[in-house]
Amino acid sequence: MKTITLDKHIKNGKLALLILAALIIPLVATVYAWDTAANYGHDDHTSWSADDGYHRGQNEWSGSDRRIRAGDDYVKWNSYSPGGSGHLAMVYHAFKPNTNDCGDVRVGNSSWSWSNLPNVNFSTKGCGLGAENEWRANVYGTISTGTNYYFQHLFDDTQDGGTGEITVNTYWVNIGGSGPYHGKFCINSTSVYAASPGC
Amino acid sequence: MTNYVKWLSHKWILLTLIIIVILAGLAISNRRATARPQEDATIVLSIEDEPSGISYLIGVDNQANEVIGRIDYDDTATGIAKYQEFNNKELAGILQDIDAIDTIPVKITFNAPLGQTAFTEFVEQYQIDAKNYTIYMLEPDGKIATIQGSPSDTELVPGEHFNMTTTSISQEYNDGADFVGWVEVDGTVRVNRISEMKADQRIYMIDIMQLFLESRLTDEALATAGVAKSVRQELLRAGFTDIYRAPVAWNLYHLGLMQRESSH
Repeated sequence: MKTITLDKHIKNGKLALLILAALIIPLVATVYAWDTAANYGHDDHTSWSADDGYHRGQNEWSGSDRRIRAGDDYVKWNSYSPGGSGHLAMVYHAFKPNTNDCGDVRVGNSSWSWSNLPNVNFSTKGCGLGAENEWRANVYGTISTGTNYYFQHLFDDTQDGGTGEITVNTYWVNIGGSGPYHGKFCINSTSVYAASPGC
Repeated sequence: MTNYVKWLSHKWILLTLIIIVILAGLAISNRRATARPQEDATIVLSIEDEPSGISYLIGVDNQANEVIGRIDYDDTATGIAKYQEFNNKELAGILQDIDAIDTIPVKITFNAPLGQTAFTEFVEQYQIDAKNYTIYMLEPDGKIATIQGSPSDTELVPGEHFNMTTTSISQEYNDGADFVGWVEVDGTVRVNRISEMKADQRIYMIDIMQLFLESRLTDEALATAGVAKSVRQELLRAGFTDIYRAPVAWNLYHLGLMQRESSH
């Protein structure tokens, strides 16, 4: 029986490859579980804005009801300090393609959301009662730098074949809130796809 | 002489350019540290209640034309106890002023996480009209994963959404995350159920801060803050779009004040 020693693996560089594969495979697996994924960009940097992350989108059907799942993961802060009074929020907007108008895709009326951000709750607004297009993960805990966070929400396509886009920003919120834009993905009547840079 | 004047002139240009470059560099390097959101807001009310350490604020987001509330409390064990006490005191006042058959908005935080059966029984027992609820899961590295869910037309906990979220957390990101249970519920309840609720050992606190702020959102307060009459009517009709307050449950959990075993 041939004995494979650890030394031999190291010598052949196989161990390094195995470690690399172990690190990459989970990431790739997650990436391919989604229809589209884009690395975070920044139109501005602030002391509290997320430095990195993936903004992902997926087309889902439940019978004849079309939903758009938005999920950001590997969201990370390399450094973090609060923006004054108020709290941090990660914000999705569902717009008509390439506009700031309310479109067919809205916050899911079942309003299920989830995240491992510290002491988080979720709120929605915009476009009138029961037809919100803005979703917020309000973060009241302290962000740990270098930690991977995620958040997700299931949007509802009110036309079940509508079009739109879902954007992501980091906000600092006291009353209204605003902050850096990280990117978006696009929605057509049958699928979601990457913005390049528009929809 | 001419050369000397030229040299001087060049020197000043050079010096000016160097200063501009330095200032630009400072501005760019400082941008990350100093950038602040530009809020277009009107503060209607801003109070710091010193004995309780609680501050509360009512503001108008002028861009969205919305009224927002904000409540801040000290998130230490003492601070949370004071917040609980503040709510109890306000609740006692409300019970005297409101008809027993009226309903009020409440946010209930549990002493220990409830399992699905226990949570359903709790909601039914007090006939709570649940708007949404909060569920915790525990990730292997100790982070809490928060799920916020809401009833469908037919189910208090729609199975499809519940399974999707718990599966997503358990498998997609962190294999093996443990289910903790229901820790908070937001909704409305009849005033005549409150006395019974106050004695319920499952409840840590009944947060009535929404009602507390609503009673302070008046035409007079908006007028004093300089909000135009036409806008005031619209804002009063719509009420609060959101009230920001840190969930008490997360702090209780991390301070070790919430019992860790879920009640099934």
